[in-house]
Amino acid sequence: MDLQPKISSNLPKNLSLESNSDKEILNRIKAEHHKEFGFRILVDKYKKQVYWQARRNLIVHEDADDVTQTVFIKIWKGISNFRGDSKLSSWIFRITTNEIINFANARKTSKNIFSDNDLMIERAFSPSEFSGDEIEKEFQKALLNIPPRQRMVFTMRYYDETPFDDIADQLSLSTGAVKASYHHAAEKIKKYLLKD
Amino acid sequence: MKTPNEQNHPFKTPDGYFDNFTEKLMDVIKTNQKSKSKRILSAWVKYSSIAAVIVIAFIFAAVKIHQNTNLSKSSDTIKSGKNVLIADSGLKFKHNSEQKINYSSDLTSRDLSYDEIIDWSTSMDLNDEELLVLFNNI
Repeated sequence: MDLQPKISSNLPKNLSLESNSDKEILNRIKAEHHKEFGFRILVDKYKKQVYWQARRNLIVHEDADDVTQTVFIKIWKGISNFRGDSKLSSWIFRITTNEIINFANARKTSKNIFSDNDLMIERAFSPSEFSGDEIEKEFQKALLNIPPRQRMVFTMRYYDETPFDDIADQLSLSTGAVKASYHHAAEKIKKYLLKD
Repeated sequence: MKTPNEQNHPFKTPDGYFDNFTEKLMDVIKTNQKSKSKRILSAWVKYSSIAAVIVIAFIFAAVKIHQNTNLSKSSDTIKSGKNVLIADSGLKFKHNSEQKINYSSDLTSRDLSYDEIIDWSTSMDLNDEELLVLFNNI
């Protein structure tokens, strides 16, 4: 399998709500009595990005849904204190990555999924949740076998072709550490796939 | 934050998931806020009750201390060791050199309890005999 980054040449068209700039959304949220209205616009604008980021890392829909909800609840609670020092999207992305990594670490610790729970694996790759072929399925299983942070780096680079510097910035890591993580992740995935 | 390409991965979501997501999320947030408000209210009631009990106890203690202080002040007017002992608050009796206490007041057993009389007599340095006379007069 080619582990070179997939270039997102077919990005979905902007949603109508995306015509609201982050600044406009923030102004609406911070305007008195308009927090909920502004927040709904924010959720509509970012829900797919947050969800798919979570889903690509956690595989199971319910887990991705949990994390997506948690991310937006944290945004709801913290948005009033958001000063705008960084971009809104960067702030949301940082919350999302932290939640995904925390969730994945907790899952790894509790060992309730993907360690010895075949039922959950089967459900995650059931036709109702998964449309890929056997090779894709094995690739996703290989992804699940690498540590959460390496997986995060790998998915950002592989799916979105995010520059290493940007990944480093978003994950508060050095560029060297990100490149090393990506390299290790790719090697582990190759090893897993070649094992079979 | 880049928009992930939905064509880039093989996952599916339940029908209408994104259409219903915002409403579902707002319901969760509102439910959380209601339960938080309830928690805050119950905590407020709990701590207010504790504070009220403490204040009442403090007031009660202050009143008792004030009463004791008054009794102590009134006993200051008694010239201990002299022939005449005079207590305020309606308690008057004489203690003459022949160890005779003439109780002359409207004091009744209803006015002072046994413990209060004992406390008072201790502060007056009355001996057992004097105390006995006092009780007999009461």
